[in-house]
Amino acid sequence: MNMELIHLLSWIFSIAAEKNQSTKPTSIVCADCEGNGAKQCSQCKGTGVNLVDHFNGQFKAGGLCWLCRGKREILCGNCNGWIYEHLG
Amino acid sequence: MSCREGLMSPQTETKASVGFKVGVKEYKLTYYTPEYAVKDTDILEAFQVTPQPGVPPEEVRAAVAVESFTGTWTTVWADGLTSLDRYKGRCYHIEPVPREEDQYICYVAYPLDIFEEGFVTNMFTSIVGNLFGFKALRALRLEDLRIPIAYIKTFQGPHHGIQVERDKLNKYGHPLLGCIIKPKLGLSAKNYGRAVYECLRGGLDFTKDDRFLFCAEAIYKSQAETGEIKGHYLNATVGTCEEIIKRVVCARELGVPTVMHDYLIGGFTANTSLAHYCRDNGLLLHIHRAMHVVIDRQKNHGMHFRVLAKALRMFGGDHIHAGTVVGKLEGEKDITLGFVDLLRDDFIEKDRSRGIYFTQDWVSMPGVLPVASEGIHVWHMPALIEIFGDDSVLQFGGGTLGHPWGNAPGAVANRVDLEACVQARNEGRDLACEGNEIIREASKWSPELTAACEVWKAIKFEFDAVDKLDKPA
Repeated sequence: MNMELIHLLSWIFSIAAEKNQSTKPTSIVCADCEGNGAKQCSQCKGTGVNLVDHFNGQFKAGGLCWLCRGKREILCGNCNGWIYEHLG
Repeated sequence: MSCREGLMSPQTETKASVGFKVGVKEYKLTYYTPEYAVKDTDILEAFQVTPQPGVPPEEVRAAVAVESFTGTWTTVWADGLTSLDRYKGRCYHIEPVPREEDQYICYVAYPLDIFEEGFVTNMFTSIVGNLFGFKALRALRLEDLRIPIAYIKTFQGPHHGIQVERDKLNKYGHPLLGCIIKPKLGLSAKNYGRAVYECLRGGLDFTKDDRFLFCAEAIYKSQAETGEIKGHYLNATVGTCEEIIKRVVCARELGVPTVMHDYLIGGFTANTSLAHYCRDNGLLLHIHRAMHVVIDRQKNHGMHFRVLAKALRMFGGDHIHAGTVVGKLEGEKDITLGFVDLLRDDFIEKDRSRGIYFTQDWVSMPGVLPVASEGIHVWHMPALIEIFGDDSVLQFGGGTLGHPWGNAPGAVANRVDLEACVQARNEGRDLACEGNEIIREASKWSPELTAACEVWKAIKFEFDAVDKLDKPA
């Protein structure tokens, strides 16, 4: 599902929620990753490299991040990359 | 034409005053029999009934018994040519649903005489084939059914059962691990085989589904590397029964141990044929329940999954997906444990707290392994082992394939997690209280598990389950 469609659907739902004040606003995208399916690596903080040594020096500081292996992002564990949570 | 009084047992005697009269009749005259004593050979059913507003409840209850069987809305002259009293369904008990207005549980007994041995198609056609469109009913749900021993003995049942499957795989004392291969579409056959190989060599027991080419190669290669028996569920869900048999013959010739089938979409008849072939040729049969939510999701209409699960055990299947409780798909723990027992155990007592309406004796029919899948990951392992026990298959799809290091490390993480939790349980530790701590301890010597623990944090599944047990008022 492309990002434009996601944003369009989110806008439609928000409009519908505004019209019905008693309805709890809904979202179709995962709040953790905001619909990306992936989020910033929690270990390297998006730098792609280890900030300190890990696993008794097995993964050295300054080397490729032991978790994301330099990709800077990891799968969003909240939605497993599905990008949406639930409706309503 | 009137019934021949005095030649039938008192509890089954039709009221002589009905006779043969042209026109619409009231069902309650002959089909609502609260004094009826249930026989051991009767098939018993529990329906949750919601009548349309204004429809007399006693009419509806009896009509539930009638419409599926011998009766119809009008008296027909051919009624006099048969022994209605012998063959008719009877509503023998009614109870209101707690805290629901105008909803009832109706208990109906069907004589076994009507049913043909050895296949469920006939049974479901008769019992639920016509009834659910009945206009007098706003909603109707088949909650449970009791299969008499005399009928169970005509069925093949699971062709291996839990113990024989463990003997074939040479795996004991722990749940089995599996994983679906994703993406479901777009992978070439060779790349699909690579994905299967990576998961199996990493430590999983099974992968699922589709694809035949290159998967056999992946199975043999991973078996040689690990020294363990591995399997991939080759999918036999296709458009015709002939093609199903063709595919499962191919699987047998490849020498793989397992095939799979979507039994609701493929159909009960096709699945029965497949099950017979699997028994004759020593293949394990993994059953997926695709489309089940169309039937069982709504609390007041359709069929509860425990009915579908019982049917599967009767006509044959070694595994069936049963939900997770802890994962994405909704399910309440007590209900799930109820039908898991119906799948695995030999004798299950009536237990309304777990949604079991009838005592069911399977007279040593082999059991079926429940498969937990969808939305589970490493942090769920202690809960899954606690809930499902050893006789289960735990399938981590996204929980394996989403590992940042790849399929094999993802499989390693799940395998280490499983073994750590099983060992801790065997040592007497409480998985419910110490589960997370057990995982953290294991991750200290497994970087793969540590990485998985970083990706998946504790997830709360906040669905309010649609399907809930009715607690007494």
